[in-house]
Amino acid sequence: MAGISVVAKKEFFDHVMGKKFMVILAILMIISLLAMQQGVESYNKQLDSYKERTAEVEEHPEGMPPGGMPEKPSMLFVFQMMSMLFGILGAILAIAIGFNLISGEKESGSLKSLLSHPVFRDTIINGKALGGMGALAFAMLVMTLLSIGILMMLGLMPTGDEFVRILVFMGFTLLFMFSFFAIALMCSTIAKNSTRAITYTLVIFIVISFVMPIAGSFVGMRLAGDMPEYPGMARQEINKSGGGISEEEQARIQEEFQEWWDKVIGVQEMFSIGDPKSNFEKVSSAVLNPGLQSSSVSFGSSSTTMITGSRAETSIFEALGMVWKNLLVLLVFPVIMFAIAYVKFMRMDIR
Amino acid sequence: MIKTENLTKVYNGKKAVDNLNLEIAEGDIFGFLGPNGAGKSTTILMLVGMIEPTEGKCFINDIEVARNPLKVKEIIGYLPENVGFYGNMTAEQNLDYFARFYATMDANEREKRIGELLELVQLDGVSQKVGGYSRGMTQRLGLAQALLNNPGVIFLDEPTSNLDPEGVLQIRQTLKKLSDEGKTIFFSSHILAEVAQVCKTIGIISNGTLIERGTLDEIKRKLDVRKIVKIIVETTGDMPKIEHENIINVEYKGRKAVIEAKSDIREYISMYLLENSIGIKELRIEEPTLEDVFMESVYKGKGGK
Repeated sequence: MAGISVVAKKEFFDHVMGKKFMVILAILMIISLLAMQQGVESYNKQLDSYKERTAEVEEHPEGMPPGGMPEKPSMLFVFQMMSMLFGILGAILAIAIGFNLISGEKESGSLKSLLSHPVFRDTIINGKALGGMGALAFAMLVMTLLSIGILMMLGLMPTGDEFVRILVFMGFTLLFMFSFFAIALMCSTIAKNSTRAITYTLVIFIVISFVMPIAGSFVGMRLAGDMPEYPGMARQEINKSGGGISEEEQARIQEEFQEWWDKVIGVQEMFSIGDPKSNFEKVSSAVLNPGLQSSSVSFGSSSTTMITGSRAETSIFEALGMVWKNLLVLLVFPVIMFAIAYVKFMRMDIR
Repeated sequence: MIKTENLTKVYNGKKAVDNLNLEIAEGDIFGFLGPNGAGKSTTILMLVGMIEPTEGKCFINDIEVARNPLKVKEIIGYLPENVGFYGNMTAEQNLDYFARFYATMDANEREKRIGELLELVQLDGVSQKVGGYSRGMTQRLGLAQALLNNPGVIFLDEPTSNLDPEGVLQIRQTLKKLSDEGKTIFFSSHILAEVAQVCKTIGIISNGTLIERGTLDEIKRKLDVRKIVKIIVETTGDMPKIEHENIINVEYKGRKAVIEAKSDIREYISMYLLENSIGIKELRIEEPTLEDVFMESVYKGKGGK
């Protein structure tokens, strides 16, 4: 255990004092600040609109028509903007930290020097993983404090629930980053050198985050067949007016459409089941959007959610309950990647 | 003491080390000699617990390496071939990092030992990071890290490769010092002159097989498979033409002759020159160098590729 802390401490300081980490963190911070600025502007517009509509409500003492009650915007909207960026930049930071952890030491010869001293191999890989995860946690902590600090400076004070949701969101962002850190560590262990390690990592990143969801969408559409036809009109029109067809007919058409849609989603889910980015986006959406209902959360791909109209707020626990499958993927994925790296490293011939 | 029993390592179906049986006494400086790819580094890696043997066993001070690699690492030092360090750290920081894995070394002891070692390898006072070190400096730091735990058994894999003459001399001096302290040193090299300079006993490995083992003289005698005797003759007057049935070839150079014969015919040459009243300035057999023997045995003779 003492050995693990020695390795982890060295790795942590190597990362956070390293130029690579600082540059990527700085970029992450700058882009996040820009996203925050956009988010704050949108939030303020929504707030103004809310105030106007609240004033309208006061002018109608008999009450507003159904659906006309204004909802107060949440400052979590600002973090929703940031979550999209974290899906890319967080992954890049994690990859940058992990891709040469083992391969770099093999290349420099320091791994041989290290292993010539009384230290178990699992101590090294565990320490490296902990040090890397610690550095990512440090980056996340800096980002969280910075974001909350800036919001407070702008006069946006989070409520207790919002504060908890921000912390939970940052926690899951960290978990998401661990997934890519684990992929990078695995590639670093498997590859013969760092160039190959970064290549393998980027290929995996692109395939699972971009190619698979797109392929899922394409294959889903193909397998589900043609979208059900409506007699001479678009679906929006049906929803608006009923389209002059009977309620029974309308119900049948909607059922057919739902069946078709479920097929498409089912295939998409299969393709993006192991994609940390899609699952992270789902979890973020549930955590940062208290009005999101369970029917709007699907497993895997984020591009095909169907948001229902209801805006009844869900608690953070309910939100997490809605995305438990996605959370499970975010938890299991890095464990699997790390297990592969661990086994490979333990069996590796150091020559 | 270092001991191997039928030590074998197979890589992709090819035996890198084949049934190696070796015993090196305490306090010996053993030179492990062989051409590149002969199996020297693989043998060392098994001896230091870095890789596991496919078959056989190896022991350091009666501790089986594969079963107790950590225990063995506590009592040995190892300088790998092309040793590497953390380039973003100083020599002191690198050594301190490695030293932290020895439970017996507290902070004070680490500081003291690191100071001694950096002085020994003449890197004391060097504040630059290891990433900026020359090859020679890195190699010297490698020696320091191998001695961190004051080991009784030290493995050095090609310690003088890529070093300039001054670096080689420094390594030699350090090894002499360590030998005087009674440490057992296992020194691998493909440079015969280096091994001849430093080692008390040597072993020659070729294609994974140990082809000879003994002191320098013993090896030379055993491996001298040459059937030709080279005799150098120098006279005070003009060199006469020397003839004998065992002579294969003679090269005359003024008053000097280099005779290649099937046997030692020095007695005949001396009588012949005296009978012709020619004074003898020099009459000797030219011994084959260890280099000749090594080249012949490894590359042309037994075990050669």
